[in-house]
Amino acid sequence: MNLFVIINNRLSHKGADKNRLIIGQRLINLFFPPYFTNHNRLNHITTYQPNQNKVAKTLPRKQGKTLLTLFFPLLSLLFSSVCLATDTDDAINLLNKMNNAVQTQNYQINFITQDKNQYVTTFEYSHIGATTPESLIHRNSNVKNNDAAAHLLYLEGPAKEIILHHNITSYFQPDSASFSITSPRIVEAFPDVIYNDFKQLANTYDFILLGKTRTANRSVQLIRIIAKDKDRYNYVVWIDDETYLPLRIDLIDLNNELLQQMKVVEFNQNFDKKKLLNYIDNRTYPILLAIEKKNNNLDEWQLTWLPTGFKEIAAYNISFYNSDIATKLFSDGVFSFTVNISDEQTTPTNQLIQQGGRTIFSTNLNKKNIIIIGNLPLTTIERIAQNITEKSPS
Amino acid sequence: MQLTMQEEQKQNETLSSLMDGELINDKFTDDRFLQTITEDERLHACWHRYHIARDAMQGNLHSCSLTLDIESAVAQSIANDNLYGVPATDQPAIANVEMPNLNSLKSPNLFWAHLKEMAIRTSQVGLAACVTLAIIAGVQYHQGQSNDSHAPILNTVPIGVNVAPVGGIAQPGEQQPSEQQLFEKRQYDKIRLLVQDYELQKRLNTH
Repeated sequence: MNLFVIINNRLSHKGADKNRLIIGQRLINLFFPPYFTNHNRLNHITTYQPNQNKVAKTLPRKQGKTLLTLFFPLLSLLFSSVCLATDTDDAINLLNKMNNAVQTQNYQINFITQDKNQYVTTFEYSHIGATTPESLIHRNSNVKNNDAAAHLLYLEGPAKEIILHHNITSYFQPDSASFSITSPRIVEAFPDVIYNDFKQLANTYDFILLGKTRTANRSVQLIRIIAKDKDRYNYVVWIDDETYLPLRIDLIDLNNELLQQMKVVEFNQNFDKKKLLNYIDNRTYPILLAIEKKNNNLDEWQLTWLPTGFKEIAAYNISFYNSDIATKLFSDGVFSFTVNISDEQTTPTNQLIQQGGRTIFSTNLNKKNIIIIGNLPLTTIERIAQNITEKSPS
Repeated sequence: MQLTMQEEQKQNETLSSLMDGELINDKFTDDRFLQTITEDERLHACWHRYHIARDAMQGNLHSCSLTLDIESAVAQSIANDNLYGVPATDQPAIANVEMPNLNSLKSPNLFWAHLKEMAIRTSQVGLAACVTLAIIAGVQYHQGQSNDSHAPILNTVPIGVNVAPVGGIAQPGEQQPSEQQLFEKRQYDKIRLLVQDYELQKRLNTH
């Protein structure tokens, strides 16, 4: 079943709906021949196979048989789509449970992250879902009033710490200035993809159950999160059978090459929560950087093409060597990018930096310099850049 | 006692002699003259003028000495002016003064009140330069469609080491960089700043 869905999905990217359905049926019949189909039906399908036009031609002559030939494919089509729907629903349910588990449960994990062609970084991450009983009630009533506390510790090099407390995230950095910002989670622990209502993503992404396996000495389910178009990388998420926490997250490019991996090696639910809360409550926190929103002048520019599902999240200016860079942030909930437009052009015209999942692309357009930074494939970022146009003065 | 011009002249000369320490050795005359000086206002003023004249000649004159009667002028001014502009009776009575309510100041967590006070109100414009978030390791430019053989070589940062804050100025003692090097540095700084900003924005705009 899983295999069928994968193949079906692969095909869907090729775009030919008609073919997909036919081959999909074939596969269904391959996998479930004795229980769901009779011999006749199989025959019908094989006779049906060659060409739809042929069926249309034969319609007036052999009406009875043709109706049958039409009826059975339709039936199995219905069946296949039902299967697909249940599978997708299962995947969505599992992913939503994961989203909830990550934010509400108490857990301590040791994990590693690694970018392609880079060394491994090791972390310890502790999370307390609710610091007070009231906040649990809030969460259950779907009020977005997160009262979670969390602590991320870099296990190698300078003892960098990141602490989440009352929706403020503080960065303690021995080798550079510490600071606090208003942010409801520690982005360094789990990537954005985890924190989504996956039902809302279903228009843009397919969710494919890949089966069961084992990681961090625990039984897990695998789900592939793949965009319906070819504009984005895809994720494979390992979800714990018991707690629904993500225990491994792989970012994979369009050639199935691993770009970035986050992998839990040890998982602990019975850590000393009191001690952690005490530690968090009694820290002296660094200065909070608050922001005054300012209008920007990117409005002279517009992006005429965006990958489906992407929305503008923020627009602002950045100061650089006495000039302003106009910046806009876009996100689809899973991936994000910024478009930065400034006056000083660069040489050479096109520059590219790729680090793990991050692509940095710089190009010149109409005497302006455009830099796009995001976790998207280069082709997508180039296409975004090529479709930036100057608004005609109205 | 009305003195003749000649007598006044004589008194002035005696005064002058007194200032110079050249008194007549007649004790009786001296005593009488001193008595006259203390009683005669004209001689007071004369004494004052002589002193100013002598200071001026010796170069010791202070400018304030010229406003001859400062004390009396200030006293007069204080007496006439209302220096505070408010009649003294407008001061509120102590009983009517509202004391700040200490309970209302007490937030559930005093620390947070404190932290909020400490918060820096930065505009978006400068925020990215305040933070060090992303580790940019092994940054290398990929040569695009340019024939320029001089590929910009950028310093690579070892893994696990945070890059210095953005927009730094060249270290003192370094050789004066060329125009081209400055341009490349600026490009590099720009990209580094924008990556910082991208990472920062991702955190500030989490959903």
